[in-house]
Amino acid sequence: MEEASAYDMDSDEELELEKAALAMGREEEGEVKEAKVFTYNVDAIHERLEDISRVCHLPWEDTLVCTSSDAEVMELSVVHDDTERELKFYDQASEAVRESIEKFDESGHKWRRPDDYLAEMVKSDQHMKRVKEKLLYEKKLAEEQEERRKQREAKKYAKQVQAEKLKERAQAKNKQIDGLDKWRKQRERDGYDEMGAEDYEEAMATAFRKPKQPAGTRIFSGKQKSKARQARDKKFGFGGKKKIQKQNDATSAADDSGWHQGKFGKYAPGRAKKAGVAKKKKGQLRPGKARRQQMRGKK
Amino acid sequence: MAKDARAGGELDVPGKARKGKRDLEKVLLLCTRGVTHRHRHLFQDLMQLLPSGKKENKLDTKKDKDVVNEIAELKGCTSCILFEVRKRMDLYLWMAKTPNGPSVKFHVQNIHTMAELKLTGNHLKGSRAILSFHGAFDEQPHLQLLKELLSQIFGSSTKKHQKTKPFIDHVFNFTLADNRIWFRNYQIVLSDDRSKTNFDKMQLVEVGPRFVLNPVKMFSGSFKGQVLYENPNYVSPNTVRADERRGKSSRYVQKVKAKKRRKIHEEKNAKAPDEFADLWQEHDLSD
Repeated sequence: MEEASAYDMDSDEELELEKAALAMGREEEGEVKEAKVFTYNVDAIHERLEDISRVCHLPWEDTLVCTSSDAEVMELSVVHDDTERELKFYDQASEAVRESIEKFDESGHKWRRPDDYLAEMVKSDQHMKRVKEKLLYEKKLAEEQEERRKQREAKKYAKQVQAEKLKERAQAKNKQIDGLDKWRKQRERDGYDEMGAEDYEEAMATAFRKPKQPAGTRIFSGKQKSKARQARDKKFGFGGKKKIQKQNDATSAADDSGWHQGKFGKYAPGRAKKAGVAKKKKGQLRPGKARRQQMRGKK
Repeated sequence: MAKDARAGGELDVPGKARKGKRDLEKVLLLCTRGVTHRHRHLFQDLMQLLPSGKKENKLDTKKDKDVVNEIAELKGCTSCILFEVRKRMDLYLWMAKTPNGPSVKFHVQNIHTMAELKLTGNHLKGSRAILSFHGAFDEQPHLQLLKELLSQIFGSSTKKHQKTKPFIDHVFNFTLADNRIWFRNYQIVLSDDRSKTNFDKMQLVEVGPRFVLNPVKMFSGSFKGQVLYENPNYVSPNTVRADERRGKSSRYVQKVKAKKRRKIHEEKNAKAPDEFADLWQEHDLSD
């Protein structure tokens, strides 16, 4: 780092400073390393091991100690890779489990917990519930993510299909124009012979005929208009000129079939027929206020 | 060697009777003051996992660890796990055979407790554990000693313990990697068919806790005595932190240096005065 940052400096002061810094660093590291001698007293270790060793004196069923056949030192790259490291641990553990279960099965010892043996577990039910909830939540998240991904892809595909369709349409148009030009030239060559009236029809038909779509290429053929779209089409019309259509002309002005006197008033059609409303004859009018009060008084 | 020893042990009748008492392993679990929540959780997890565990009040002193031997004797324990916390962040774990040793001091790293939700397994409290050791444990003397210690302390050795249940549903895994001991605890999940064990359907689900033990020193006595082993690869967390700080400060030093260098450079290569600098000014004035 020191060398990297020191460019082509020729200041004496600077050089001295850096030398001093380097020397200081070396001193600090060097002193400690030289002074330290790490103890490794093999004889004493063996002695102590013999003193306390018990595991090898006991039958295996009492200790359940398994040692894996793999004595390889794990590489640092593996140690720092979480997945690979855990996989190694898992393999070692599962080897030990397999070995010991086989031993147990051979000797005929019972080792499995009966299904009806219920006892306290290391983790409480409450905690396990939380664990389960978290797992479910994670699953849900994963599913949602998958759904979003699928939608994104479908959108991409639809876009591609649309582009293809537009391209096809442009091609068809060009073809039609070409056909028309060809027909014109043909006529010119023929000297505008008028007997080709049928030819004209035919030529037009060939020029403007829709190109045949190969089977299975139409994507939206089965799609129907939605109800809302249908209603709007009916109301506002679909395609073509709208302005003139909506203007009155002589016949429509004279047509009064749709007219009736008030839709919601008391003379509305069907109003009189409604149950619960008192029947009124045509000429019968409501009496004036004074007369009504008089009538009330009589009662 | 193991075979001979076992044969010898079986023949030796008085020895066997004596051993019966020695077999009853009781582990004293205690910690010093100043533990953080994570250390406390790990402590509780170990209490859960070891049916032979005995809990004791927090230790007030960090210097005089001989007290621990006395406590162990009072409690009738044959081994001890001591959590020593320094600076409220560094956890050192002592494992000792009391009262005569040996003992080991580990630095504990990468702690994940059982309370973490990503460890989804569960097993019976007090069931026996299979102890799975990495093959490398047999290759060096100090590792052999460590293996013996670990298997005595973590092994649910006999059926004599009151709290031990005679079933097997989990495995303690000790692997040696990067000169450290990595601890994992898996639940054994098997298919429902009891008549025949199907290993293809066997699954291990991690229960926790997880931790990494970095051996620092081994002593011949318990918490004292002759040093048997010192880890040459061990770097104290204090040193790590100091280095980090030094790295940061050196960044500042370099920045200051660069500034100084720039200043000297500018002084040496002073800009020559521009002869056309006020040309346009004069021109403007004349207008």
